[in-house]
Amino acid sequence: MNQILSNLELLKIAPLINLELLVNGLLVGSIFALIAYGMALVWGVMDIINVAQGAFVILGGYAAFYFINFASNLFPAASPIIWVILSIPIAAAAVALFSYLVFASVISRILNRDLFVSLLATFGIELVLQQLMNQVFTAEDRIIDSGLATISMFQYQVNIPGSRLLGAGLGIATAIVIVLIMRYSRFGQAIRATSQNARAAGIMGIDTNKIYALTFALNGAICGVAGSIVAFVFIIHPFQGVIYTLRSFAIVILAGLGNIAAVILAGLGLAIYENFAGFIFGPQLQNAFVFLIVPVVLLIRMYIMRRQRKYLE
Amino acid sequence: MRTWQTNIATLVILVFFLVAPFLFPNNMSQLSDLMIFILIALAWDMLGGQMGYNSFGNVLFFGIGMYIVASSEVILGGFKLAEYTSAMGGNQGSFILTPSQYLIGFGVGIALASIINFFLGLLIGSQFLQMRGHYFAITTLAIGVAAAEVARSIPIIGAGSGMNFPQPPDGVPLFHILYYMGLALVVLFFIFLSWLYKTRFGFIMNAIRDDEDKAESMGLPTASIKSTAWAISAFVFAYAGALYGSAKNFIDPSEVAFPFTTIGVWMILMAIMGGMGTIWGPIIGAIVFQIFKELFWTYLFGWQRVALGLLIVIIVVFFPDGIMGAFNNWKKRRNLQNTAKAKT
Repeated sequence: MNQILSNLELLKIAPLINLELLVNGLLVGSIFALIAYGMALVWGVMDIINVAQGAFVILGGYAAFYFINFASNLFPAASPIIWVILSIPIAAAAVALFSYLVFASVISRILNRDLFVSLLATFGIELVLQQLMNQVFTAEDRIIDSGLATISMFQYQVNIPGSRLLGAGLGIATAIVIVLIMRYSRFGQAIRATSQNARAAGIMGIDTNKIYALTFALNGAICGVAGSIVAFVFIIHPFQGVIYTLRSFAIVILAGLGNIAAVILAGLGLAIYENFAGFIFGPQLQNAFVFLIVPVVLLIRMYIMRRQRKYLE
Repeated sequence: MRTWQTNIATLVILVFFLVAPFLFPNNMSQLSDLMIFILIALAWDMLGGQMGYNSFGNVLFFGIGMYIVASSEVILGGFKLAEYTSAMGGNQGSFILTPSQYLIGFGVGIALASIINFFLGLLIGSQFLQMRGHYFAITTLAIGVAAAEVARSIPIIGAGSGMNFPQPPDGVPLFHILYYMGLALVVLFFIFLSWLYKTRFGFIMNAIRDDEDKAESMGLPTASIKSTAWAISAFVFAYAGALYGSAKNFIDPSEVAFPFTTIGVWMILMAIMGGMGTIWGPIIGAIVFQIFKELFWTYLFGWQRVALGLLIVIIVVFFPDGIMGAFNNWKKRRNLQNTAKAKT
């Protein structure tokens, strides 16, 4: 208790710590929001919770890692930043192709089944991927050195890792591209139409099965981008995917199903909340706060719905 | 429908399980795991199969039960819980229990765990069971994950580094005790369930699964039935968790106590594998699953999760009716053929 009070006191004495927590929360949150956006897209369009999201992210990370290793051996003179940026489309394409294969083999067969079936099936895929990656890429922690220094401001009171800044920037750029695609392109319109009413979209001449496949592949591409960002901001390890799955799961629920735009806000908000909770209550409680807020928010939403004689379904 | 064949089959299976420890004395830990799996599969199916509430969060009671038993063993052994967990790293030696202390602690703990979790289940169920369908599954999943993270941050039960059970003293045949305690509840629970599913309570559970709105508008007490069923399942889960923790002899918050990625999924998988909504399904599913799992872990080590993941995908995608479902379909087809023959 005293620890908590003294931490609060510290925030009051040194207001710049608030700024650091806020900025770091925003930067990390934008990466998580990107991953959650993909999950929300698949969830909203085809009613499938992709538990393998985290494994896809890690797979993208490995694709980026091996590409960068390969390329920087070929051209040792070039700066690593170029390879980091070039690795993004490569990883995106690799994971998109892979997730298309997953769609064709498994997901297409469970499209019209219960949501709960999709949870289990994609969980199985996650298990398979985790250990396959563990066997193929070994259990060693992989990290890409982006060669960016930490930026310090206000006499080292605010420290922002340069790689995080780059990662967040790339994440935001990707998010903007995807939002533009969703809003203005024919493909994006078809996706939105399918998610609103698949039957009506089919009558209007949209090949919904193709849209489902492409949506799943688009989600794979998003995971690939996120993976190559994760590879130089955090670390890549075969069993680390669960973190991203659970985190994006929490974000999507907090945003409310079917509310894709709110995912980005929820992602940023959750990361900021988490940073402050971790600072005030101690880092060992940080994750507990992240996951406790999910049932709490759902309960509150349920009580609100109940007053309107409705229920959460 | 009970025929003499099923009666004899039940008797044979029961006798087999009674003598199994003498037949396979080297596989006691697998056998006691099997009893735990049968218990949780039956308890999960009570909600998932019979009532249509697919829960991922039953590991909450599993873990709480486990922690209660471990704490009860330590406290009734005359030690302070905080001292015990903080000393956990090195000197286990100073925390030795006598056999009677150990057994009393275990017995009191398991009774406490089951009863506390029964009421906890009533309390939690009365709120969370107001959600339906997707939201219920999602929320319970989040509860399971949150429970692990919260347990990870409470120092008195060992926080992230987990908590050891007190060492079972020499001369206590731990796995035999766990096995027979598991078997006892399996038999009782099986008898209870086959009675329950034929009562009004059971029919209301099925009505809730088929159409909750209609059941409610018929004036059926859906809310209280739902939380009572959830509480009974919590009782069994706590009991199973207590046995499981004692068998593993160590509690890790997210691997053993609240294992939402292992037990939390296996319980559902076993029920699906055997056939959801049947009384024999979860039992058969648990037996088949345990055999598969042990085979994978023994012969495919290093690739065992790949095999398990593939098994999950194949079962969920291609065999959603499970073994009992396939059996019932076959029986139905045969009956149809028989009646067709009788007509001609």
